[in-house]
Amino acid sequence: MPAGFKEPLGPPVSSPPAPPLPPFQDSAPTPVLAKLEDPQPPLPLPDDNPPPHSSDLEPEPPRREFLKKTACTLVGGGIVAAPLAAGIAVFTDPLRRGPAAGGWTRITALEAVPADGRPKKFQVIADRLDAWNRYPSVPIGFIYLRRTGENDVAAFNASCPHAGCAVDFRDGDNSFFCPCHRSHFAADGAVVQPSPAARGLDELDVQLRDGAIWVRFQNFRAGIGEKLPLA
Amino acid sequence: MKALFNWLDHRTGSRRILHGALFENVPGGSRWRYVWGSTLTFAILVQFITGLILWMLYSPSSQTAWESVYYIQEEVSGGWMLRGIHHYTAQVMTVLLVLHLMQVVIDGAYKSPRELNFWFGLGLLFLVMGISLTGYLLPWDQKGYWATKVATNLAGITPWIGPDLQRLIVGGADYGHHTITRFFALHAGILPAILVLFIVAHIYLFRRHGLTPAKPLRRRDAPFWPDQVLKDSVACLAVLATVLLLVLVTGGAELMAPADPSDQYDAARPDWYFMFLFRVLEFKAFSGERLVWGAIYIPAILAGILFLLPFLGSLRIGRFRLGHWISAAYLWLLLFAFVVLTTMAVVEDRRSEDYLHAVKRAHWEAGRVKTLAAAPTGIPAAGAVTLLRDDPLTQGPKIFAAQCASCHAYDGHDGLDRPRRESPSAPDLAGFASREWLAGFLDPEKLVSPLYWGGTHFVNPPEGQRLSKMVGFVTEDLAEIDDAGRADLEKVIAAVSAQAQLKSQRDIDARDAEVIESGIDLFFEGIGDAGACIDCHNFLDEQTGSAVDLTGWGSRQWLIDFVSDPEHKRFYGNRNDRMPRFGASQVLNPKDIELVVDWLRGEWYEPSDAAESANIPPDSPAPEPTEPGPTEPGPTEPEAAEPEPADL
Repeated sequence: MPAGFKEPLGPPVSSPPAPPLPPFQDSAPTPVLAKLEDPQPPLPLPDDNPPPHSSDLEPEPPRREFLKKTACTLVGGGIVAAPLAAGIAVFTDPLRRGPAAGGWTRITALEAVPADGRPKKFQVIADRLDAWNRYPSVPIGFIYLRRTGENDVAAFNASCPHAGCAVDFRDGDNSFFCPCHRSHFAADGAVVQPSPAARGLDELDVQLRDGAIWVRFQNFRAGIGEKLPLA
Repeated sequence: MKALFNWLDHRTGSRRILHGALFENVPGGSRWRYVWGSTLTFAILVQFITGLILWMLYSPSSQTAWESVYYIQEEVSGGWMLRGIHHYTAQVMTVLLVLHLMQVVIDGAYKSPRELNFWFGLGLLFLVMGISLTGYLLPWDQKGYWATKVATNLAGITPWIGPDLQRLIVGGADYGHHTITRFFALHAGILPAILVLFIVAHIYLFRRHGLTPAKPLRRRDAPFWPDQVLKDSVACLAVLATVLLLVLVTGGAELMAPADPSDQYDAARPDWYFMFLFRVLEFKAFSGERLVWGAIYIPAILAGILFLLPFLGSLRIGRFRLGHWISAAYLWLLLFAFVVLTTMAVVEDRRSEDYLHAVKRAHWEAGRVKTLAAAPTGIPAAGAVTLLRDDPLTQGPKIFAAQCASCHAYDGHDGLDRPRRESPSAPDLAGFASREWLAGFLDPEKLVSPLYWGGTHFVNPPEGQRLSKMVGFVTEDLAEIDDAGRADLEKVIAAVSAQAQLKSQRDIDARDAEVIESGIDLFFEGIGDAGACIDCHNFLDEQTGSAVDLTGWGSRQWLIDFVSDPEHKRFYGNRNDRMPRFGASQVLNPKDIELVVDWLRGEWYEPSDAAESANIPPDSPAPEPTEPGPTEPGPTEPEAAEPEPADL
């Protein structure tokens, strides 16, 4: 820290090495410090090889000065901009990637879904790609299936549309509850007030193929009223 | 020595720098209220030291993050202490930041000409919060995963840039490797680098403008060294002592079960210093589309006002420092709101049965996965998440609760210690196939109670069907046997139960080999005056009956086959009462059936197993099965029982 710090609004750090200390005679507001002054002032800088002076030569013409400054700005800016641009291009790579998986997945047999219309939880087992790893047939999330007719099934993404925690179906209340901000949904997925969620549980596309339930597993943007797929 | 210092001073001006650092004037002399800045610098130093060492052991990927933190926590000597210091210093730092901010505003150090320094300070506050938030995810445990999911989803509702912002933070559409690498780069690289720049600017500006004394000055001015340095050091010591105490009392930082997106985590909460924000989002005022106000706008406005305090602070009306009072009051108000909201959130959680149950379960899983990771088999390359996914003790109860508990009970509950919705319509399966379970089943009173068949069609046949023969046998024939018959019954129970080869009965089965032998004979000959089991049941090489085949009853393969298809002719055939054909109809996949079967049979890894097998010399023969059922299929063929053409 430079000596100048003691003056309330003293000069910045880059003050030249001279004049030598002590500079404290002018720091009137801090008389105590004068007594604490380091008895040994710093030695002056060695000055064996003073840089050659060329002030007697002709100054550069102003136009050349301008060109040099412009070149400095361009080159200096360019050499910083190039790695920065490369970095930003890589950093923003996720924006140019495709949407998350939204393929059809077999979930279970139709008879596994209770006939009384009570929702039941099922794991979604599918291949998962995590950057450089591909995991064949692993649980990638879970959903709720609910009978809406003898051969009709509704599927809900278990992710709460409020902030994305996983909702839990409680038999006793016949409704879904989110353990985070206490969102509350009826068995058919509709919001039950009071509830912080802006929309009901997200319904997923369902197909029945030979007595098996297939679902297009997809995540949606949380926290908004509109049901929009997570880009 | 002096010559060396002179040499150095010549070239660097070191004496001048040291002098400048130590002899700063402290107006009014040293005071305890000036220590906060130094304690924060100390805390940051601690975080750098501990963080860099943690970095040497941490591996940022979704297959290795939890695993490497587990290794730090459980295997590396002193690792738990290092991680504990890092974790709790972060917590203490949050408190120190608030104290520092309060002191700066109350003492008026935020006003002209120190505006810029105040802003750097606020910048540091938000940087530290950002570092805490990103650090919370790095262990890649359930706690960090779900809390971060909420945090990034909230970032996603930021107007205009939300979805792109979320994608950039998460590193794609899904959480995975790139979420961790990004959070790690932020936590350990980008944010700390900015933090250092801000600290340099903050301290430089602080020195440039000098300390703002708390008025009135009580004593004469004094230099920073040694009085204030001593006070600062003692305060730092107190901070360190607090951190160490927290580490020792809690046993270090928590590490929950590995992140699993397919597993419900009902105990999801942010760290305590974000609980106020968490609680705000529950208010009706921010429900529905107004969430963006609670999550983004209002926090941003409140923080924005903080940045404007330096201008407000200089406002005076006559001799009243009105602006300063408002500024101080604003800060007290924020602190008050923080305390109230945090308390509300904590108190509500403490009162929520569901939450407490979820926390208990989460801690249980955290302990369980560490037990499995410490097993001789260790953590597989696919990651620790598979340890719990493949563990019968973890998955069995979950599968049971989801698939079986609508009819069956387990020790009166649903498998997960939660009360069942209605009276069970099928047997309670706790201790299934054990001697006690079978003795209860063959008890005339218990069989017809809800504990066993009380809720089934075997006891309460629907119109047009007759009472099960077995019910008649137990409630009439077995009810009348004499003492000798009862002794026979016990032997038969031991013999049939031995078919299950339960781990829990290994010792008594071996001890009672003779009893079991005579029990098998009695199975064919009859129990006292009552009839013989073989009259209806198939057993061993006698395969003429029509009732359930009791060969290998309750063994792993028998139970897998049974759960897969209870309507198979080996089992209930067309007399099956509502039990789904879990395997044959593909309601459950083979692995889930195995998991629930292993759990029901008490077959899961316990640390004592490892100790036991380590004690057996490698060349000693494997323990003989006590009851070599000749037709017992091996346990290696799940789904061996292909469903026969339905005979219904």
